[in-house]
Amino acid sequence: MAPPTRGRGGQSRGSTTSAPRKSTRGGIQKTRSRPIRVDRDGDLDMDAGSGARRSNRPPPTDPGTGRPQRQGATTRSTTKIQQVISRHLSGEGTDMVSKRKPQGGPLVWLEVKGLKESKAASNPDGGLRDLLAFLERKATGVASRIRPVVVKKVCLAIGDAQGSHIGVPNGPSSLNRQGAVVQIASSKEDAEEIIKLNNFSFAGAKLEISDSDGSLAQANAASAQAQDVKSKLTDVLSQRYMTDTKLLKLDALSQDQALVAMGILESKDRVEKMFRVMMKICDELFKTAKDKIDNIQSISLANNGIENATQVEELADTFPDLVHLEFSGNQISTVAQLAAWKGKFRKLETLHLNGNPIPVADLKTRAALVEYFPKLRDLNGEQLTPEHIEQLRAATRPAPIPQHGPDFRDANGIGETFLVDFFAAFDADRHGLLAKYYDEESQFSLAVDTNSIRNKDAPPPLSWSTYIPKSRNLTRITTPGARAARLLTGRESIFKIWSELPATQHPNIKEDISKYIMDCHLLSGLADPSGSTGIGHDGMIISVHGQFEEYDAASSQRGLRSFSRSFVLGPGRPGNNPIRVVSDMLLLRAYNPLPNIFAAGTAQPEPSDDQALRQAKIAELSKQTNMIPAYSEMCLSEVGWDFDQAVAKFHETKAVLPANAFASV
Amino acid sequence: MAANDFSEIARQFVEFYYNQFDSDRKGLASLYREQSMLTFESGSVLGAGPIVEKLSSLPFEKVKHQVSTLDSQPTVEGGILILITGALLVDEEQRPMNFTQAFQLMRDPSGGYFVFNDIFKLIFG
Repeated sequence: MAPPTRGRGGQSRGSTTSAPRKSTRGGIQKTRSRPIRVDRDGDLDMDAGSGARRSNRPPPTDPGTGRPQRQGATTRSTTKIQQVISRHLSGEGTDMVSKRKPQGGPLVWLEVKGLKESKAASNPDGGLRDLLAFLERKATGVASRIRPVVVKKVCLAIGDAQGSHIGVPNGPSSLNRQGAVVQIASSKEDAEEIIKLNNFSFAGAKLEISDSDGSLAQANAASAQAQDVKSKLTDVLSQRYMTDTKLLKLDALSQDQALVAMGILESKDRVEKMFRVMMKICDELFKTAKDKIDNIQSISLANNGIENATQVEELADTFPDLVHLEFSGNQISTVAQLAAWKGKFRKLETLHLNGNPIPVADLKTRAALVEYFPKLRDLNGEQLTPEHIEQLRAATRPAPIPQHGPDFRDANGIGETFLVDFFAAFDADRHGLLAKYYDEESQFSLAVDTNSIRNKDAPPPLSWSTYIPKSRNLTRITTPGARAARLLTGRESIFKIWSELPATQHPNIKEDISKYIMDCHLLSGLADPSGSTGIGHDGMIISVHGQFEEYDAASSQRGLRSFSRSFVLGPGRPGNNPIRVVSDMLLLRAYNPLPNIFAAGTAQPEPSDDQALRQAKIAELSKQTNMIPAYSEMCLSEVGWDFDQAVAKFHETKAVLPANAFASV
Repeated sequence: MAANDFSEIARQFVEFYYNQFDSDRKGLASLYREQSMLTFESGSVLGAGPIVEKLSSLPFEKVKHQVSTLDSQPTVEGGILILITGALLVDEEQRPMNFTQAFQLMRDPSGGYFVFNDIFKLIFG
């Protein structure tokens, strides 16, 4: 079996000792019962709450240099930031890429010999529990500090290092072998205390504690280097901070002589790390959100060759309340390259992207920027009005299928006349309506859609009880008999069912056209019984969507319902009305307002250039002819969008256009 | 039972139509003829080729029709009028939309049915 590699940091090499510790020292539980603080990365901050009281502790000396470390208010958090710095700058840290990965300080490993020689070795667990308790208690005592020294990981090397394997702390047998070496891992700070216990006596044996693989020395060196880097970066930051304008000017960092001298601009990777460290330092300098708002309102990252916001993503984490961001002279070419900041700057009002390849004039780009930065009011120096922003927002709303006006291709106004007549009569005189337009072959059926989608704020649907027994929804009514019974043919049968339906009040088509959507198409090939109707041999198919108010006498229930109704109209029989209803299919839904197609102009999806041209033609034709846009569009589409032809066609056909084709109805 | 053949034809037609629409709408070409007219929202298109082109160009990838109601009546010349309501889900949009669609089926000289009129409307507010 190959010897285990002596991993560092997060690599787990053995079981932790948390269980034994808990059982041995009650006093520690108390200090741990303070609320546990979790820092931004989700790390447990083990120092929480203890920092303030540590100032009476003698300043730790750095064994590597013998110099006292910086002390004062920053002492406690220095540890944390130095860990970040050293990880970010030492080139170690594979976790550079993801800042969300938990970042505990790197563990320092020490080697402890002497357990086997101690009396405790005869304990059931080989004495390990006692040894760890001893080390933690003594080291805490030696350091005379409040926060206990903690051994975070333990690895037992049985035999000697060559023949070692990972031991189980509570396993009694393994420790009885010869030459037990215990490796313990702790934070660098704690390791410094533990190593002071070298030559202490433990249960009759002298302990030999050593930094056998230089782990502590390395950590100290890294820490010293990180401290140096931090101090230099803090200087750079303070020189670039304009107190009066509350501006942090981090532009053109590659030209900064201090940074050049530090050699941390050598690669893109290192520059990104440096930026992260800068943000960490800012988090240190301005501890609360209010501190940050009060001191830094504007940040410039201009002229840094930034290609993607991910390179400086932490800016949004450290300064989420930033108001002005100068980002000119970078290499952002698409909105997607700013996506890392999407929604993160909730208060950003100014964004300057001058000198980036990104096309800020492009409507889609603008719409996305307004979405990403919801408070944006100044883009590249241009003021965005609320109206403009609303337009941009509308352009990004999902509109997979553009909703436009109807396509009502009437002939001699017959369809329109029929509908106006029909709904008024259906409300007032169903019998008269049947007599006028229906005959013995006319058919009627109705169906109920109880599953239709409604707005959240729509009123609760009316009862369906009157309609359900009559509903001919073929997805539910499957037997031929029931299907046949619910299809009514001829005036009398239709009148019977109509008389059982609640009273209705449809909106007046002429006055309330926005409550309807109507389509009308000619059907050729219908036989013309009289040969003398206005529509010749043609019939028409009409599709109407709308709403009505209903009053159900049986339940005294009053309210709105939505409906769709399709008609097939054919030429009337000799001596009767010139047109007749061949088919009449009514479909009922719970009330939900229709899209107002006549007001839809403001919520149209963003027109492409081609569409924009068409919209312009529609607008101009409407202006010249007074037709509503839907008719202008229809007219233009029929002549292949040739404007002059459309005008000509309008003059040819205006005599037969229905009144509602015109804006001034 | 002859009186109900149209109902069954309508049901089968609707099932085929939406399955085909939701999997590959180009495959709907066989249902249209040169005199067929599709009205999709306000835009009307004449002829099988342009209709399929229009359907194919609609700005969504994934689409799912859920039919709520279906009703049909025999009309003139052996034709069938079909009225459908349902919910339409497109792409990643979670909110379904109400739609209605009216088909006028006609018979061609060989006796087969084809779509003469196809009127589609979204009716959400």
